Amino acid sequence: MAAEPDRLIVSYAPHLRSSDSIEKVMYTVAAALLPATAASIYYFGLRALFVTIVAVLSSVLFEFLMNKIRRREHLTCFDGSAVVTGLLLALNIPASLPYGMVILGSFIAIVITKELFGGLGYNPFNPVLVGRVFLLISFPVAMTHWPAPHVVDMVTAASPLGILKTDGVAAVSNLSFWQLFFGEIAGSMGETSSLAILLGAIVLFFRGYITLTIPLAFIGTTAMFTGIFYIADPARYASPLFHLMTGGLLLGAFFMATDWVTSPMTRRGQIIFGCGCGFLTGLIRLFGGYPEGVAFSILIMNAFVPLLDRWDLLSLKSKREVA
Amino acid sequence: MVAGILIPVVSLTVTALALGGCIVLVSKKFYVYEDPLIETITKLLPNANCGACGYPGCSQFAAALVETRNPQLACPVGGEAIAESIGPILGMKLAEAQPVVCAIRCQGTTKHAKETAEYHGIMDCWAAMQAFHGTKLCAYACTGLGSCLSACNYGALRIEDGLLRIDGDRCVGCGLCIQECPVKVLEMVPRSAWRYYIACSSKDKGAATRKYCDVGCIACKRCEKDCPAEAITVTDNVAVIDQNLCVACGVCIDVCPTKSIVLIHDSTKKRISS
Amino acid sequence: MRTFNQGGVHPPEYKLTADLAIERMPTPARLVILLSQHLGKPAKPIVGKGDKVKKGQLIGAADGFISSNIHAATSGTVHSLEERWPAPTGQYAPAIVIESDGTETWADGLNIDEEKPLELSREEKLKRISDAGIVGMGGAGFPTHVKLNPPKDKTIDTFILNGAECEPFLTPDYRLMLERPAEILKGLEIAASLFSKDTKIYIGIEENKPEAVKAMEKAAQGGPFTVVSLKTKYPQGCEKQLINTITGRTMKEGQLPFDVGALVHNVATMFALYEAVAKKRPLVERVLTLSGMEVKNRKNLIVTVGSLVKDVIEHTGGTTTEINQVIIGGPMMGKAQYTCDVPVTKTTSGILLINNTEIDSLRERPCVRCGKCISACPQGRQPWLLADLGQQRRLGDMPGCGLMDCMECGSCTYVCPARRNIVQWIKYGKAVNAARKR
Repeated sequence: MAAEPDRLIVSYAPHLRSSDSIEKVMYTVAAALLPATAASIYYFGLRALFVTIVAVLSSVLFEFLMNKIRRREHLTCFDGSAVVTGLLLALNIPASLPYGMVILGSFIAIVITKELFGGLGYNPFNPVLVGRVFLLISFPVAMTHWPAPHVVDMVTAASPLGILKTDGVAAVSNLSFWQLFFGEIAGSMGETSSLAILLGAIVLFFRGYITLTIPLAFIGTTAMFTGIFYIADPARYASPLFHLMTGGLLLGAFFMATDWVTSPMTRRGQIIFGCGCGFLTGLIRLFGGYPEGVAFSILIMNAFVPLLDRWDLLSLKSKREVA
Repeated sequence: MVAGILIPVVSLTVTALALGGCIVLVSKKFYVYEDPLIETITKLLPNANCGACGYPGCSQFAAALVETRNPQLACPVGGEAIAESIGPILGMKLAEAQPVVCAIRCQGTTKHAKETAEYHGIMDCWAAMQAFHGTKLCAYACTGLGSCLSACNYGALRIEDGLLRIDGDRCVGCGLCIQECPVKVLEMVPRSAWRYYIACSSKDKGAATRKYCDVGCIACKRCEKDCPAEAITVTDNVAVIDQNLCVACGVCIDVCPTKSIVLIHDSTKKRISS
Repeated sequence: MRTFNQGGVHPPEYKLTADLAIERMPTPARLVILLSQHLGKPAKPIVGKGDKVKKGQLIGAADGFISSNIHAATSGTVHSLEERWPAPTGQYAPAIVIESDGTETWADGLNIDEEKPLELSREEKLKRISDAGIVGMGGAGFPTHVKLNPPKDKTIDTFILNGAECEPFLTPDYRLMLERPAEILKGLEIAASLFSKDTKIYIGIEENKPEAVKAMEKAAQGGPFTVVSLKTKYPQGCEKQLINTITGRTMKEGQLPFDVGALVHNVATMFALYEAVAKKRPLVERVLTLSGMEVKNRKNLIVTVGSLVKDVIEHTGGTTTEINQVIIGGPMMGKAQYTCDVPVTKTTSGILLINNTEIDSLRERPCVRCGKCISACPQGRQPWLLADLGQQRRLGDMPGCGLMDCMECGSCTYVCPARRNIVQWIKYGKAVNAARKR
């Protein structure tokens, strides 16, 4: 080659970039969700697979349509974020949910919660959880009747948390730890198997895409809150372990509360955010009208994120000025 | 049943009355007198709050006008029409701002001006200036990345072929774009119907300018020599036309070897009307 | 292992030239010597077209307090004085073009052998340093004689030799430490002798260069030096971080190293300083690394200041495939050039020829608030916020958020998954804010 290259590009330092791009991160998260998806198919049959496919495809499609409507030069529908939204939405709903409702959930998540606010990076609330809560409030019956595991004809059953709410501790005492751990219970598709969720979380942790601050604060606070009541009156309140293994706590703590866009950026904010989520979850589960409160608590804490970030910023500034 | 309706109605009415009373008290206590003239005049002004008059916004300008009654205060954007409509209100004759228009002293489109290399990064003039003047070799050229566009409230600016173009009919002469330009290639010139203008600001020597751009002023001084009105002077390797002396004869445009002199036609009547 | 208090990243090291001994590149027939190779005002040319010059002769005189002398890097004739030549800093600078006569005759009184350079008077030492046009050769180019002469009310108790060389690819300092440890230490001793006897002298070297640590430890035996092995982490070699690593002191916004009683000097600078004081040799050549994945013969070279990048590439035989970026400096803080006509200057520590395949698809996405930049920032700032303010054109708010605290190390931009040009937004904010102040 000649000494003088024909085409030189002037760009800015650093000329070296790390390999983590939005696409890579998003598809890794999607991969980390696969164990939970596989577990849901194992327990709830082929219908779970179809629900997942419908949720993912409709999410990507809605993102594509919004790209077109907003006349985006570069499409964002294939960057993986819509896939993750679709996957997570599927994991958050019962396998028996009608497909129309699944698509409506995707619409709420992608169009209303994300794209109308400006797309990835600008949404103040977690799209999946808004989708879930919207469905829960609009179709309370369909959203609270879960198919029992390994039952082909979609006989619905209540989730352990639902039974706990209506029938008390005695009614759920027959569930063993291993049943809860492997996920052989009724519930939303991806929430039942603690094992599958933890497998995915380990992947994300070792890739450095999540820190443990939020999950630990979240789970720890819920355990403490429910633990205090359990110690005070074990006959009325379920054990903290039961609370950790049931409902959407693990999925919420590891995959949704840690969502970059809707969680605080600094450690102090993250601790407060996690503790707030945990406290609200405990409060709703023990004393609220709903048996499950993870989605609500994360959404409520999402609203506080700008405040937490701003507080951190201000204190950082004043610390510098004083020093 | 009746009590069930009556209690909220009565209690809400009492609350409303009490709060209304508070509002009346507060508005009386904290009332600030403002000359109604200020509002009248503000309404007549263009209300673009461009700041070309030297005040932060139109209402401040109006307040200054009412307070000082200084006939020299003028709105460069509104010009004659505004001066004529505001004058009678204040009962005096207001000075008329000399109408100006923005002009760009560069013709370096991608076709004419040599480019450096591909620039990848933030599409903003100031940012691109940090690396070899962005895209063009000439240090006095418009970078064509359009930092000034956002400063214009009247949509008079656009980028075409890597060069800023100014719509003289839309430009009101507020001058906000000038401070956004890192190259200082923009300037305000008197608005006149037909105007000859040196569209180059390169202070490089002729040979260097020729190397960087096809249409740059190479300071050959031919226009200076031939101008019958002696309106053109070459300083710092670039010619400048004194618009007050220029008689718009067009001799210079014929002698210029690099075609760096342009003829601009402004419709002087066009004004922002309130 | 010692390291700085916050932030930092671990880019791949790519020290491809670490095992190659330094070679000398012959002086090309024509040199372009920039009059601005340092921070501060450009030097004033004191020769005219057609003048005969000798190697080491002063051709540009320092203009003002923060400025530096420029010397003819070879003997020959002044071909022309250029007003505007592309400089590796990304700006244009005036330059003197010298046609070499091939004899390399030194000017009178230069290139001598001083028996005992340490025993010269303080004034003589400073004069020789300033005469020789020594500047910080790590990249910024701050005149060394100014740095070694801090305001009287500042006490310097720590002297640090910066052998961290944390930039990927670059190895000139590493090779110098292996091949010329004695001279470097002598230079360091001369520089430290300008201050009180109790001044502690540290030599900081990243632990990924055990050979250099060994070589320096061996040469430092019996001397007043402490060799410190540092954790390999970018930007270990930035002044503020190195001072923090070694002394534990933190520089606040707007503070200079002498405010915390420390001075940091680059390895190459100390070598040049030794040559200036002990041999009266002006700074007319330097060691640099020519590297890159596509380069045929990667090399550590002694290059005459004023050689064009084109000449250096030609000398080494070019690249195996097409490249699209020529970067002067390291990949983290270096500048991409638009032409190979830029000359090597006193601060050119490396030339990288890169085929950047990613650049065409690189586009900025909105911040996804992952917080990676916050944990990467060695200054403990919030880079995403500065980039956001820049993007929203709220430039006036940027100084309040630590704009001037940023030394543009690029850690934030390196880790950003949204591929935002954070550093460029910050530079943009700095440029506009500086222009507005004027």
